[in-house]
Amino acid sequence: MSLDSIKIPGDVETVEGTKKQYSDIFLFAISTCMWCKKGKRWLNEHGYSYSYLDIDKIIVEKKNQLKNDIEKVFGIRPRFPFLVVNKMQYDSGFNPEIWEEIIQ
Amino acid sequence: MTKKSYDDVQEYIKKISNRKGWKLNSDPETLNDLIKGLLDNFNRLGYYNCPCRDSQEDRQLDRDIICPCRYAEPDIAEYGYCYCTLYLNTDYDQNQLMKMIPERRPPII
Repeated sequence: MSLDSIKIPGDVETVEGTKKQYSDIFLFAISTCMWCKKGKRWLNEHGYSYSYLDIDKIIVEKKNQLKNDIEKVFGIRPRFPFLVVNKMQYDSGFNPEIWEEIIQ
Repeated sequence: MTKKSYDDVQEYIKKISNRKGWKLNSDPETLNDLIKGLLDNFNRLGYYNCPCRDSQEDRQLDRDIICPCRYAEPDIAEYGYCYCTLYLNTDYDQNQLMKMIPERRPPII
């Protein structure tokens, strides 16, 4: 199971970075959340390319389904930001020391 | 529903922090993000849902995460600040790096 097992509802935004990178980066975020903003800024400042979905922009039923799917795939009730690297590795919350470790 | 302005939110959080004996986050960028988050939530949902927590768009289901949330007091007592870092213990020294604290709220859905 990986991120590919999850149907992403809603419009995914893509940010083009400036750095050569090996990791595929996906972020589930909340648009009003300052930890999520810190997470996006951190990715921007490091020059990473990534895709993200602001989950507060999708309807509640689909959002709850998405959270259940994330829990099923990753075995953890997500909090946000929820980072997924190379479809399999994840970090729940903004923990830059962990992000640094799992992003290549 | 009457829309709130940026100043309304600022006034509201000042009032809460005074009443509770807390202080507000002093980092301008973070505070601005938090005020804007609360403002967006109020004007979309009709209540001050915690900007850093996922809403069910239902005041009853979200009642424990309406700012100031039910977990702010124990979090400030234990960590020095609440989940979104809006409110801090008056003794907390903000020169140290603030990390995300564990989520005290039990899963509801």
